Amino acid sequence: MTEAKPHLDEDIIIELMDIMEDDFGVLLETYLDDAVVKLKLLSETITTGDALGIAECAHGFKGSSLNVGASVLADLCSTLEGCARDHVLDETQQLLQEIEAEYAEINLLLRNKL
Amino acid sequence: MAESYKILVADDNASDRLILSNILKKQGHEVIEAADGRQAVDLFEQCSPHLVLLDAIMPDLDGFEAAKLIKVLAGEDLVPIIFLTSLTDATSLARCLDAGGDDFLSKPYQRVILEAKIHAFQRMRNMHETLLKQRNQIQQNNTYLLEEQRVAKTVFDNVAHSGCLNAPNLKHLLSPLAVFNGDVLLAAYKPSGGMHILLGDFTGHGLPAAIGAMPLAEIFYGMSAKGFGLADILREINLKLKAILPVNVFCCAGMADVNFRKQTLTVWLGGLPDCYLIRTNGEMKVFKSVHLPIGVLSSKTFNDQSVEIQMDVGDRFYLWSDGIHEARNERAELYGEERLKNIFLNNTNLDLLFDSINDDVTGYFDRVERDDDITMLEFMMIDSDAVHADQIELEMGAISGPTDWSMTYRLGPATLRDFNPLPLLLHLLMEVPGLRPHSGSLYTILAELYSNALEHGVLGLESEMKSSPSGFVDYYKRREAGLSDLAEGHVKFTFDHSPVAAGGQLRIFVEDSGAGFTHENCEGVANKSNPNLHGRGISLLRTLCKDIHYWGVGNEVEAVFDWLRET
Repeated sequence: MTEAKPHLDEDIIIELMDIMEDDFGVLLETYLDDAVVKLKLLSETITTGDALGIAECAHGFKGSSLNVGASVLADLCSTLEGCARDHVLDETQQLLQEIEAEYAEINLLLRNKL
Repeated sequence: MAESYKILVADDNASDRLILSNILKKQGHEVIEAADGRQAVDLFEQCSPHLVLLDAIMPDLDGFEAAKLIKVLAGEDLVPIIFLTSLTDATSLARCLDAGGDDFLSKPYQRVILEAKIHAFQRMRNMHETLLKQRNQIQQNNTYLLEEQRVAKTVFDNVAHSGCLNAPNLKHLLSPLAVFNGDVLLAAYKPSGGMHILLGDFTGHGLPAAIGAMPLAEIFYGMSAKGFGLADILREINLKLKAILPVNVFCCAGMADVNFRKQTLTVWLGGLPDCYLIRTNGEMKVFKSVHLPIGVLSSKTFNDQSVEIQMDVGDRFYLWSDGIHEARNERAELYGEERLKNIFLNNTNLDLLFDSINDDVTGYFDRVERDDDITMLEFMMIDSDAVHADQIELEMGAISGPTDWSMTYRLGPATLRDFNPLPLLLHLLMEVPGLRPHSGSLYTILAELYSNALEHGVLGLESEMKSSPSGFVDYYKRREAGLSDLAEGHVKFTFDHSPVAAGGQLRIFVEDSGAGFTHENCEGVANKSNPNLHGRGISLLRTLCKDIHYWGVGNEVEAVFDWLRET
């Protein structure tokens, strides 16, 4: 298996630690809490087939994930956003599962940083 | 060097907001956070931030809509908006700019780039602020300037008043381009009953032009009222303007001296376009400016030579600045001299000529901004009887003044050499209340008596010399030579004025240092019968004075001038 993109971009984490200093923990908690909300919203919009809702939520999740260095998660969100914008919804459930799995990974990695 | 800004951050992702806030706070800025577009607009209104960082996609009101509202609220202040985006497609980025965005910042945020962008906008803001400040300053300066000009214009109008421009034989057009314009139009009755006219066009406009016009007007009116002639006035104006104006500022001018009795117009033209004479029979004559403008040459090189034009009643003379020739229509074509000349050639009624020119020129550039002033004057010759005496009564306000007085004024050789005492003496006499309307006669009397005393008396020139053309030239050569090395001699004026009920009596004694002449028979005898009286203008003096007496050896003459106050 070739070395894939790392789940967490360590350079970004180091930079964030520098920027946030004592608030680094707060930032991670905020991100993780917000992610739970977003995952729930994604699940709901996918269930109802709300393409625009999916796209906007995936877009937001992509942005915040990029900023904490969760690049694989951001890529998955980006793919989901693209599908939703193109109204190709048959794979969204599948993508949501991948996103949830990736999130679980990130959750673990970030909590280790605390 | 980094200034502290108030920055509005609007992003619905709490974690993104947190990162951005921390970056900005670390850089020393004050941060205001908004979680959606609606809140961003409200906070913008409340806090007036210097810079807005706006997420493109937000619930409620998205970044595009928020940006539009914020730009409207900002008015003429420059409030840069940076879109925070993970959007990458060209269409979305273009939308950000269309909505009023000034730049983008993509996720993940990079401190260095954000800092650089803020600095760039700081420069832009400073520049914009300077621009607004300067614009306001300019507006304020302009207001001051207009106010100052209004005040100065009042002073200017008082000095450069229009004199007798409203005389029935003058028509004029003077269109101000601004509060001030570079053109001057002056006219004054001379004490002798004639008229002086001056049309001037200063280089430039506004204050510099007006500054030159003031001494010009002052000299013109002052010297005209005191009886100075065209050449003396032009020389004085030239001297003054040359001294006070910068090198590149001068005055193109035309000055005319009107003698209604002789029906002549003596014209000096410097730097003006060709001026036209048109006679009642339709004959037209062009007069070119043969001199440089006033204020260019030194007194030594200034040429005051003028042209005398014999006119008849109803003949007209036109003076103008180059504003007419250079008037442009909407196609930027010049009005030109040909077109002007054609109006003259096609004219059938001289009374309407002035208005036809005015209408044609005005119609020509009706819808166009004028580049120069249009100034034009029409002078019509009239009969001397038509020049009413009360028009000559220049600003005669005070009734009181010297009425019973006498004085003696004695001129020695150095003074006689190059000083003309007549304006001064006339000025003095004009102080007598009610005497001014007689200034023409008085000037003639004084001029005759003085030239007799100086030329025949002090210099001992024989008047018969003037009877032949060659003798005439010789006479003036000897006069000039005699004056230039005059070492002794004098002329003494004595005035004695006494009031009578309806006017006054002025007795003028003129004594010279000459040898006198045989005068026993001269009284009551036509001057032709006595060669000694030839050329002394005695017959002219007799028509103007009640009495002429010669005293002593003939080197002293007494003229008695009785005058009546005009009612």
